[in-house]
Amino acid sequence: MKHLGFKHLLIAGMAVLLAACGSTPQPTVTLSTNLFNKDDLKIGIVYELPKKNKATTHIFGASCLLCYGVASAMTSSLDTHLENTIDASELTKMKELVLSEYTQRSQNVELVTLPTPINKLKKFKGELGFAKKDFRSLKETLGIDMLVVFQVSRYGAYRSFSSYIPNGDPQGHVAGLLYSVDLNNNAYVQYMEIDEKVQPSGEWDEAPKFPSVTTSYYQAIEKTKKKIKDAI
Amino acid sequence: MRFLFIIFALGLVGCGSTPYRDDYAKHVNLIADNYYDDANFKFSFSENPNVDLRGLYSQNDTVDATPILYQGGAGLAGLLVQIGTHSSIVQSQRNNKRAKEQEQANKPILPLINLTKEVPLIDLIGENSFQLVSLENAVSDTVKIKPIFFSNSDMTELSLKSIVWLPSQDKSKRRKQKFKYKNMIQVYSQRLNESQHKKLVNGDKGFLSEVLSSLLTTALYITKNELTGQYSKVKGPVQTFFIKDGSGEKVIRGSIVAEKCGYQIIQDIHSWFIAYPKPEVTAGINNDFTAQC
Repeated sequence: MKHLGFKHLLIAGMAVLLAACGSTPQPTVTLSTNLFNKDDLKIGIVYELPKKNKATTHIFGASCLLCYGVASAMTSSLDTHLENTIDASELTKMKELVLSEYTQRSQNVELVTLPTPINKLKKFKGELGFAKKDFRSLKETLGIDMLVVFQVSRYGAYRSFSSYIPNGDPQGHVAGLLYSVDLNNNAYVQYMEIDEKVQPSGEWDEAPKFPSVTTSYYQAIEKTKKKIKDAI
Repeated sequence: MRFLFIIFALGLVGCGSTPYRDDYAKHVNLIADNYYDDANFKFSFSENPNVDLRGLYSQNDTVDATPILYQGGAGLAGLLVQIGTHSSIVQSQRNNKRAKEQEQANKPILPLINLTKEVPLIDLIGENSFQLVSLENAVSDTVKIKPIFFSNSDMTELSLKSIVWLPSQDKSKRRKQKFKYKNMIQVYSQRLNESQHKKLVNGDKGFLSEVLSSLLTTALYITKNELTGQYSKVKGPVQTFFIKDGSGEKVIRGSIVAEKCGYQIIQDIHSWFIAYPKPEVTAGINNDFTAQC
């Protein structure tokens, strides 16, 4: 029997890595109402903001270090304006909206704080339609049947680049996730990715107040609120 | 070397510019407290003396990413040339996208465009005609106005963007500011009911002129109030308003400065003025475009 050489191990490792990279992203899951038939269904809502909680311009496509530096320099005035003008108040209103929409479906809805951050929870080995982290222990820990997670990962503006060159104007932007997990079996009861981008109307580069980009951010917020209402 | 980098940075800043649009105005107000008296307010229409009607279209001119591999062997100057070329290609794509979208948007409303081609603006200004000055007789204090009308694709909602400006009289060589005052006034019509829509589709030029006249006279009313200082002291709380236009619901951030004839007049964070029908009024009235307040 031939011994497995380093070359074979490397090829096998690459194959496993590529298989993992090629995994299908979780598609949208429309809210399943079966769980709401339970009279005393308890729902816990978790609200997470990004680690660097400030509005800024999120740059995509500037694929080299120097490209990213140039792109950042191009949007630095806009970043300053967004940081100084836009706070998390509209995001808080979205959280309140999630709370109020679920309150219409169940009498036992409350905001909860997780004992462990989501990214530190154990992984769950399931197919599509199941949460990637194992939330099941929270049923006993928090005394709830269903966990709703509302995560905002980016807010402010979005700008696409091809290396050094902008493909368009900065757009008002909100991104994140809204999903609900049945804590009996870790299945998604609802799953929606939020990735809203709104083109500013007219000239964007009007320092120091950038009114077109600011308005487009509020437009992105309102569009997201509508999607949240439709999803729940 | 430093000089080259400066040119490079300036070039890229230029690369970030939005394609030119004639239905947009950056607000300028250098008139301070030198507001007009009612009696001194005169205006003229710039360029086109007839109605300019266009279809509403998406403003998004972002193009798909064009990944490009720059040739490193060309040196710094060569790299700058390549980046400049790439930038020109992207800019050209954005301009083409915008031009095509305007063309597509005009197609469904061609009957309206044909109806209004020879309609002079002077026929739409009603009682404001005594304040109108011809372009040839306009002086430096004559307010220049360029109205552009819009229709959604099913011809049930019409709107107006009126660009208003006063050129600067500063003749010094180092004049930084071309304008003493520049602004945009937007007016939205109430949604046409079924019989009104049918009139438009059947080519009722008289009715169309009534609707356009209502929009233009409201814009002139706001322009005059602004330039006579009526809105300068009004400072309400900034809030979010929702306006329905061709692409759905649009958000405006601003504050109400006045209400007139079922319209709320909002000054937004651009300092533009937007006249939009109050919701409780549109529910109840018969959309009479001839009513004068």
